[in-house]
Amino acid sequence: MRRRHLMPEMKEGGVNVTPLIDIVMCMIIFFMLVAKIGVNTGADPNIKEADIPTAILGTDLHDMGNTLTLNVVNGPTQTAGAQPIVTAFVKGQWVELKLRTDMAGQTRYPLRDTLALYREGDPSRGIAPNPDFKVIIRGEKSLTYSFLSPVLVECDLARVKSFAFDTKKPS
Amino acid sequence: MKISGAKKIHYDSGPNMTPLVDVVMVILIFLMLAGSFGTADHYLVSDVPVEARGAGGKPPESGPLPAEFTINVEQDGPFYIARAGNFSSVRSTDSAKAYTELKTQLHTQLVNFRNAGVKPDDVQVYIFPTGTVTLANLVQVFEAAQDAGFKKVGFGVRS
Repeated sequence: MRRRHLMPEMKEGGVNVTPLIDIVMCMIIFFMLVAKIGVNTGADPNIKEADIPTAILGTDLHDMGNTLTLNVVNGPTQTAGAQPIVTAFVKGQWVELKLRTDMAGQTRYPLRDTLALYREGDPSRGIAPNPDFKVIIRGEKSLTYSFLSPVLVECDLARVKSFAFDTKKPS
Repeated sequence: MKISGAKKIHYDSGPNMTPLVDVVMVILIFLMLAGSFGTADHYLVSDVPVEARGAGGKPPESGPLPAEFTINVEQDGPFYIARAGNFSSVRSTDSAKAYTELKTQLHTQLVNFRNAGVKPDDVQVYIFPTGTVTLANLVQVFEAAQDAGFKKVGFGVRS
């Protein structure tokens, strides 16, 4: 008796998607490696990218771990002894760092103290000194030197020897 | 009566990939939209401590005294005037032209230092702006000094 071999009916599922999945997987791996998601550089969103100065030269800072970005804005110009408004992302939260505060007869220097903590560390809190600590100054084009210079002086007093201006590449 | 189609054998070509493709596509689109790649930011770095002159100015730290070169910058409307040595550079409405002019003049100063036997690395440039100079102008002078070949460019404060 001759057995009749039935050819199985191949059900073609439409388009072969294997090359598509290969390419898409490669793209996902690429994006996961390259994309920076949720990285906070400390740049204040109130200072728009379009408002910072342009520079042709300049380098990329690859190690942002040794840096603290100070967002500097002009203070009130009408007030005598006005301070710049300095904000920074310190220990996971936005803080305003005043140059000097007088409270209950005590003068404190929050900006200097914060910078000194980053630079010199604090053995009692287990924070090691960081000689490579660098300050990034991010300000609008209209920021005047009368408000910028006190910040530079505070950096110097905190023994921060290196600072960088945040600029954008010309379009 | 039997239905003839019920006996047919169906061979699906492997597992159903449709949900996988859906999820992968969603992840891909999310990464493409949310991710930020090489940012447009770059940084002008200064490793020179702030120089304070006048009352309260501190003496230089120990070591050989470097050759100093001071650039005084004033605000002139929206532009700037940079004065140093024997030149003055006025920023015109053409920002690129003014930058090139300033850079050229600063490079000439650097050549003068070289001719005098001073290495460019030993020259410390201090930019002394007035209080009204804006950051945009400041960055341009700073950049011109670095572009001219000066390695150590810092800022000064008059106290």
